[in-house]
Amino acid sequence: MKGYFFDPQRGFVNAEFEPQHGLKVLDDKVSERDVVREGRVWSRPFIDLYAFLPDPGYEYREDVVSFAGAARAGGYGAVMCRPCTLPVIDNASVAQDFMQRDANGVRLIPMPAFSMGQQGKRMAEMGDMAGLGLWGVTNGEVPVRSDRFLRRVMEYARNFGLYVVLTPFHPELGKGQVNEGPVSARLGLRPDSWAGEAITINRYLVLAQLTGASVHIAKVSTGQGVEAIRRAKQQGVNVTASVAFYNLLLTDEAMEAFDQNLLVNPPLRSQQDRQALLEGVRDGTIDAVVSDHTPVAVHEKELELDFAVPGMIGLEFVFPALMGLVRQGELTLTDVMRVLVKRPMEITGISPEGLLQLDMESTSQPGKWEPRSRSRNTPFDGHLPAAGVKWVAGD
Amino acid sequence: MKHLLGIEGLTSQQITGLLDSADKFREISERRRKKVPALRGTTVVLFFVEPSTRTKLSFELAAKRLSADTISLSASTSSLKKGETLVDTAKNLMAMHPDIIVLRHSAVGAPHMLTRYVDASIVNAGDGPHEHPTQALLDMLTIRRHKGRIKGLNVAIIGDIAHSRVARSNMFGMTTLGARVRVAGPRTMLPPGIETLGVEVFDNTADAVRGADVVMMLRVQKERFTEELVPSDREYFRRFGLDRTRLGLAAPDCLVMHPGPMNRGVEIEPEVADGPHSVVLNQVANGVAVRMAVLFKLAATTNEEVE
Repeated sequence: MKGYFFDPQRGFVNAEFEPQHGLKVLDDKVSERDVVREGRVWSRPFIDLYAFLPDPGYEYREDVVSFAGAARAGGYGAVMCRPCTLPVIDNASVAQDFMQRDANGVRLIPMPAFSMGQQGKRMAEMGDMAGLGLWGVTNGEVPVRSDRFLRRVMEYARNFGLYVVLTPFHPELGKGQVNEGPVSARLGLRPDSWAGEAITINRYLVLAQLTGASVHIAKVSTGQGVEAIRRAKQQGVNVTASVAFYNLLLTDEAMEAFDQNLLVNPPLRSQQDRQALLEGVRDGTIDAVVSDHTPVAVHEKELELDFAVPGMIGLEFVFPALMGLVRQGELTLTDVMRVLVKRPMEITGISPEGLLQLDMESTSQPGKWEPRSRSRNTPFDGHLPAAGVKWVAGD
Repeated sequence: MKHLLGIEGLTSQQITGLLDSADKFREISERRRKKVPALRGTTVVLFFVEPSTRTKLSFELAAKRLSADTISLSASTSSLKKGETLVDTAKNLMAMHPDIIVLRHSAVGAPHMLTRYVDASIVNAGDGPHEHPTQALLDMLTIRRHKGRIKGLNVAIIGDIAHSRVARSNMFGMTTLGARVRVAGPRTMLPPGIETLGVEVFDNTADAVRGADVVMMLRVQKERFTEELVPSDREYFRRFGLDRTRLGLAAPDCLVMHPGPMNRGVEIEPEVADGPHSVVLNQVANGVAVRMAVLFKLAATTNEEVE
C-alpha cells in the first residue's frame, strides 16, 4: 500500500507499507498539502514529555494497564512520567521497578525527583539513576524555593547528561484557580498571575545560563513565559519547552461553567496567552506539546472548586485536539508532527518502536466514547472526535 | 427562572420584575398576621455551609411568611462534618424531595455545581467571593424605594472589592440597570481586571464619593485575609473609611448603605452608620421582601414545568 510518511529528519515523504515487510521510504519528498488532501499519514509513535502515572500508590486513579491502554490509544510509544508516586521516585531502585513493568509496548520512562522526596533540600542520587538510561530529572509540580540548591542540581545533572525538567509554578504568586484578569475579577475565583510564571521562568533561564545545564521548562502557559524562552534561545541558552495541550485549546472564559474538570495546573489563561502559545509552537520556541495526563478519581474531583484535585486526563485527547487546531488553521500538520514526534525524539534521544496510521478526518463520529483511562476527569469527553490513531506495526 | 445563581446574566427586565414583585411582598411583612398561603406544600432547605445570621434568618422568614416548610442545615449539624461530600449530602436531601435549596458556601461555584447533581431549584445565598444575588436585589430595592430609580444614579462601592460577593453582584446588577458605578479601595483589595466590568476605578474614597447618590461601604473581611492587605485598621479608616467629612462631598440626599455586619470605626464612622443618610436597617427589611419574591418566582417556574 502506498502512502505518505512523516520522516522526523526530512518531513513528509512517499512511502510504501506492507504488514509483512514493514515500511519502505521512497525517495521523493511531498508537500503538506498533498498529505492533507490524502487525509492519512504514517508516523513514528508519539513521545509524551510530561504525564502522571499514579501507580504505585494511587492505583485507584490509574494503574499501569489502564495507563498503557490510554497511551496506546493516544498513539504514544514512550511517556515521561513525573515522580510523585508513592513512594516518590527518587532513587535508582524505585525508578528501575517503575520502568520495568509490562506496559503493552509503551515505554514508561520515569523522571525521578532530583531532590529526596521532592523536598527541595537534599539531592537525590542522580548519577545512579542516570545509569538506567533516563532522559531527565525533575521536582514535578513542587516549586524549589532555594536558588542555591537549584543551581547545584543543574550543575550536577550536567555531569550525567540529564535534562533538568522544571515546571514554572510560583509558590506565592501562582496557585490560582484561573488566570488573573477580567475573568477572575468577574468570577471571584482565586487568581493566578502571569507574573509568577514569568518570574519563575526567568529564574530558571538565568540559572541555566549560569550552569550550562540542559533545562526543559514543562507546561509554559503565558505569553510572557513564551517570550522569555524565545529570547533565551536566541541568546544560546540550552533550554527547551513544552505546553500542555489544554492551554492551546481552552481559555479562562470556560471557567464560567465552574466545571471542576477545567481546574488544571497551570490554570486556564487568557485568549492572548493562547495566541502567544500557538505562535510559540509555530515558530519552534515551544518544542513539544504534552498531555499532562493527570488522572483524578471521582471522589477527589466531584467536590467544590476549592477542594477538587486539579488536573485532567490527556493521553487520548492530544492528537484529536491538535488536529482540531489544524482544521481551524491555527497549526499545520507539520507543526503537530514536530511537537509530538520530531522534537521529542531529538530532545530525549528516544525512538520508540512501531508505526502509526493517523487519520486527519476521524473515521468515527464525534460523540461519546469510552476513554481507556481509569479516571474520567476530562471536559472533552463527547466534544472531540475519537482519535484517528491506529497502530499498524508494533502491536 | 429555575435557579438564582447570580445577578450576572440576568436582564434588566428580569431584575426589575423581581424588584416589582418584592415591592408587593413588602406589604405582607407589615401586616399583623404576616402569612400568605402562596408556597403551601413547598419545601425549602436552608443549607448554610458557611455561617450567616441575617441572610439565613431573612430567607427563613421569607419562606415561612409564604407558608413554605423550611428545614435548616449547617456544616456543623450535617454529615459534612463526618466527611460526607457536598454532592452526596445534596443527593440525600433530594431523596426527600425538597423544592428549593438555598445554599451558602465558602467555595466559588458551589451552587452551580449542585445544579448538575440535583433537580431542586438552587438559590445562591453567597458563594465565596463570587456572588450574593439576593443581597444585591435588596440593595437595589432599597435604592429604588428611596430614589425612585436606579438608572443614571452615581453609586460608589468602597472597600475590599476583591473578596466581596456583595460588590460583584451589585456591580453586575446596577450596571445592567444603567447606574454609573464607581469603586475605590486600597489597590491590594481591587481585583486586577476590574476595569473591564464597566465600573470606574478610584484610588481614594473622597474622589469616588464626590457627587455620589449612593455610597455603599463594604465590610473589611478580616477572616478572608491570608496576607497583609493594609498596614492597620487605623490607617484603613483614615485613608479609606467613610466619615462625616467625606460624606459631605456626596450629593446632599446621598444614601449610605452597608451589607453588614459593620465594623464601626474601621470602614465607617459610627455617626455615619447611624446618621440620617443611613438606610442600613431598611436594607434588612427589604431583604425579607426580596427573598419572598425570589422563592415565589422559582416555585412558580417549577409549578409551570409540572403543569
